[in-house]
Amino acid sequence: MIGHSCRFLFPRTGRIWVRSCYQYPPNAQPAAKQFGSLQTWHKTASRPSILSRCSSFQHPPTRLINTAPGQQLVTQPNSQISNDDDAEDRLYRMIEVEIRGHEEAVLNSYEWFLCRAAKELDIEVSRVYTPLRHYERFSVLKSAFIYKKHKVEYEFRTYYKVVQLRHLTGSTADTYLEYVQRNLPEGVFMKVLTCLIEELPEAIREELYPETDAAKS
Amino acid sequence: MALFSRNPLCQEFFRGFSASLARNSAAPLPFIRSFHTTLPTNRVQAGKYRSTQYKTRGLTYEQYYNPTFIGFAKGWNSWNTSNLRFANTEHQTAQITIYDMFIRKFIAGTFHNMFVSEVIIKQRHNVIYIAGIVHQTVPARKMYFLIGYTEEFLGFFLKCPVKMELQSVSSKKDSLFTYI
Repeated sequence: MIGHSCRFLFPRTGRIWVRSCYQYPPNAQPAAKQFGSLQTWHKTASRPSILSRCSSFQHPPTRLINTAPGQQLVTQPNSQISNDDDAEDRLYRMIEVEIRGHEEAVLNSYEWFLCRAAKELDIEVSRVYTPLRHYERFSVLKSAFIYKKHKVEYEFRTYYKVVQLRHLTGSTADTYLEYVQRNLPEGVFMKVLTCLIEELPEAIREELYPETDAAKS
Repeated sequence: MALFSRNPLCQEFFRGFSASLARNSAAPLPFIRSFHTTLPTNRVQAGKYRSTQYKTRGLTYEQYYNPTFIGFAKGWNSWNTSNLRFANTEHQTAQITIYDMFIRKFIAGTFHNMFVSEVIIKQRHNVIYIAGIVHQTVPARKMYFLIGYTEEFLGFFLKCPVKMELQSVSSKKDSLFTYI
């Protein structure tokens, strides 16, 4: 599948993502400033060079495909939050919530909150792990004039925490993420990676699974 | 001991030095000129308070702990995500810092000598929350006016909602942690 073939192109993970930053809350003031950053990363194949290596079909700049054979899903790839009840709900294979902060205790407490909220909504929390913290250090001269041998060292500490959720529907994900982001503490940064399940394009599906289509027709 | 130098500074120093050697009497030491023995660069004196003879100086918890205790026994006064790794793609650290300085100046000018603690500035999504402990110098009605005034003006200046979360204290001694 596309996801698997891309695994070897990128050393870290097999996913292509483009950061799509959305204003949260959605109906904020027009000239509002975004201080607590929220970024949502959607799996997209929007780089043409990668696309040409991955596949040969024309793919609109939407989410990357990550399907299993035989899935008959009708999804709306271009809509972020759809209020249309007629359309079928989106399905997420996995949602990864990564939080960063300057203090471990705050992140631990918030991670407990994330897991508790997921438990209340019957969301499967598959993995909670702590990536290695990062200290960025630098020295500056202690004195305003001369005295090169005397310096002061400062550092920025960034701690990480990742919570992985599996098998969500679109409405559940929207509810959960909205609730959890509204309660994001100050000084904590969140990054959300979503893996959406989409239907294969017809051209590929016909080629790979002709018997299914033959059975349908 | 004898001093062979004719230099008046050396002679003065020697006089004081020999007097301090024979310090058996209760007479006070003569004044001697001295020089700094520590480089200014070795001393760290920011955020430190000198102790008094009779422990008359009251300090809050924040004042008592040096800046070296930040992250250990102290928190920060400004909470935002501008300094986290790769969390600041628009490079707003300097802007946010300057805005915080402006907020503190504004608060200092609006609430004259009222803040008993430091001004804590928190940024959650779009909203700036200003927290702190305030001394009850003015009646409650005036305090409400000041809070509304600050929220309105800062909201217009910073182009985002500003909310104040103040707690008040009747006497300043309630905020003191220790005396040194």
